[in-house]
Amino acid sequence: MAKIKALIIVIAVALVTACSSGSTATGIGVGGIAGAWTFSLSPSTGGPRIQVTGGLVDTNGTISGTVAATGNPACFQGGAVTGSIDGNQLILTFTDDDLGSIINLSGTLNGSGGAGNWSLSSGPAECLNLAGAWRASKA
Amino acid sequence: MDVGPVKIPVLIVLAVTVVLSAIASASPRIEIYFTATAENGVPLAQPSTEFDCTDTVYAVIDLKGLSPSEHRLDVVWRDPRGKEREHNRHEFRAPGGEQRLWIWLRMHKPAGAGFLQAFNPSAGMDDFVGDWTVKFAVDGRLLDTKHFAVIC
Repeated sequence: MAKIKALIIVIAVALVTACSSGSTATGIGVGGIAGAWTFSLSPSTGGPRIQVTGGLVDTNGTISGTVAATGNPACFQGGAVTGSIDGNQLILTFTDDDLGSIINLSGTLNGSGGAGNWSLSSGPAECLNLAGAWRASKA
Repeated sequence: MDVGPVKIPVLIVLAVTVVLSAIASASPRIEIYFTATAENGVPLAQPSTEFDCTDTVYAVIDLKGLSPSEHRLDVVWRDPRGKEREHNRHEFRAPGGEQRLWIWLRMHKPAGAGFLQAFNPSAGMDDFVGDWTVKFAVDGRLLDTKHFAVIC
């Protein structure tokens, strides 16, 4: 008798399940600047472009992170990122761990890209005249 | 200024063209892709158009050419049977004229489906299997319609 009851329950569950349908859930996210970025720095005086890639962390408008660089290893090889963002107005500083180079950027940045100007304010003597425009894209 | 009768239609066509091009240039541009890949809840740029029932489907929306004023995004998800499953509405501002947003969709099996899914993985999920249609509108204006498929 118990087996029959169990069988009836199983069949009932199967029937109810077969007749019911699933549900959906949804939500929304807004793209901030946190995540992986590539900054492409073009010197206005020509020469190799500095490509800086790394992850940015946004803590209530204060930015931190680390980056690696390619393009001009004599002037910048990678290091720490600090800065801030207010709305879409960005101020960033890349500090090279080994060379002591400091690159300052300012411009606009949103969830998917940005652009502005940059200059190298400290580092090897031959790099101190470097400045130009930058563009950024999010991975 | 004397405008001859022949020139009047030409002027009308020119005026209409100017008005239409002004309207077109004022509307925001939209780029959309779907993905199931995300890191810490942030979708990654790995577009796909086919998903499993267990995937979280992200619609990643890049809006450009927005005015600095308040905007409203509407996203309507229709299942393969044409039934409206979800309608997302989001109001936002884009000071820089650009905004990235994403909407995610999850499909849940009905309670008790676990038993049947041992025999049929799509049990209770039949309504979700097939081609979905998603409409994207900004400020009440339909900007794009996209499709993706769910396979269980």
